[in-house]
Amino acid sequence: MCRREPLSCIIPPHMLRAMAKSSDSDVRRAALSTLVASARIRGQREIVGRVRTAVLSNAPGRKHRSIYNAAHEMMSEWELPGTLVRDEGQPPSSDPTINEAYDGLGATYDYFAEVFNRNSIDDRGMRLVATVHFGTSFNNAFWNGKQMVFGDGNDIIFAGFTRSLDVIGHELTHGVTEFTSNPEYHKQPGALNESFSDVFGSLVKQYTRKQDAASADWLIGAELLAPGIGGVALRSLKDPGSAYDDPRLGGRDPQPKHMSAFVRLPDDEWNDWGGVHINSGIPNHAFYLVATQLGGNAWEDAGIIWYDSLLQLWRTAQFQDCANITAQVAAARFGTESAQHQAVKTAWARVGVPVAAPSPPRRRDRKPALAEGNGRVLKRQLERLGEELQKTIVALG
Amino acid sequence: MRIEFRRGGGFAAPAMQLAVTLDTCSLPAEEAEELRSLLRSADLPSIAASRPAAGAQPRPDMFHYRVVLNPGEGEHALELSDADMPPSVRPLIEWLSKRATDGGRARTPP
Repeated sequence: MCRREPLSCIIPPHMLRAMAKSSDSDVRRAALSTLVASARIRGQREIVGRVRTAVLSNAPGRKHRSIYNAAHEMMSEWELPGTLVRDEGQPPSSDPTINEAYDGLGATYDYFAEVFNRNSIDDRGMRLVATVHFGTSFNNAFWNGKQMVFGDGNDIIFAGFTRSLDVIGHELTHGVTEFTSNPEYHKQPGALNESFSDVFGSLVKQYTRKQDAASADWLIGAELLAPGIGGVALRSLKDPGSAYDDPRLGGRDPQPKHMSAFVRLPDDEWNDWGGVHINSGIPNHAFYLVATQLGGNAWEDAGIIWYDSLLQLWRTAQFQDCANITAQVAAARFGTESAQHQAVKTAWARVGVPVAAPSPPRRRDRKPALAEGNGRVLKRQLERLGEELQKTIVALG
Repeated sequence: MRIEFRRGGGFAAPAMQLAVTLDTCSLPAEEAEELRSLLRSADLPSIAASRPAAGAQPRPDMFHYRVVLNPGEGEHALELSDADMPPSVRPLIEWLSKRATDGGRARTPP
């Protein structure tokens, strides 16, 4: 219980403060210990964060892509990635799918490195791995937590999934998201997770093709629809809900672009985990509005505001949190009177999620974004804290 | 024998959902034989028995599948994803996915 294990108990600070004044000496001691410990952990976290930034900013930028072939097998996690067919620096293959994946991974790496100084998915130079020719006529692409997987499509509804650069950018961004704020993959946090992938997938394409906000198509997966399918793409950030209309795609593109049309669905695998690919239309459109309001290149101010916000959000973040954080980031970076801050506020208001003032309180469930490898350091620090805590308890007793 | 098949998730989940119910008695003979043979090789009941009954975990853009044999009467249900599909089941899942994709359109009788 709490009395024995001060570190593991989750009691709000105001309650702990009340308990610290308790007449029961055991309760008082446990509450005090917990308060001391949590204050120290907060301090430690900041130190860990600063050390991490210093270490990572010195890490050399290096791009390492490895493309594998599943040879039409639906390989499970324990069989992936398949046979290595093109590693970093090797000449192009005679198979265009392999080259599309290689080039798409490269374009995504370059975008994150050149615009945000981010060294790969984990910001520590993680190798970018993709498997192509997954399954037979497989109509999908996904991120499995370690790598990307691309199907060839059946050429009746979908073409090969490496064809669209924004789709490759989308999948890799799932990796970046996982290593940063990692919003849970269901309901509103899941729709934010999806939206960040669409936004950065679209920005990878715009950056690579040097298209400004006005000339970009703002479409996701335009190259994926097979000839004869009624539609222009799988999603549109410019006009969510307008990308397709075809019975072979289950009817019309169901994405809303305003909170009043938010689609409530059960949180399970048969309902897209509460509509994560549906309601992402709302934050997607907010980004589009910011970028086009500001004009110029979307990967500059608008993209930077969204990237900084991705680093600051948390597991259970809702649309409202995203609106508030993007506004805070814009105000901090460009000033409260800036066009950028104004554009962010206007955009969220237009999609029905007006930025709330004042800024939200710091959330208890908010976890700092940690890169791989810090776990051991943190564990050691926590162990040391635990030992100190034991001594404190003994001293108090 | 009746078989229920469902696929959820995917890069464009709402456009990629599939569902079909088939009955080997009413399928064209050739298709029914194909399906029976795939079911024999897949051996769903033993695979279902060897898997933990944990609920599906959300994974970005990944497909989830559900196959039910003889729904409602001594049924065998199996849930899978692209992350954890045993090799013996893959031909069946690919066949059912293709059949469900075609299912929305008129099929020419044999």
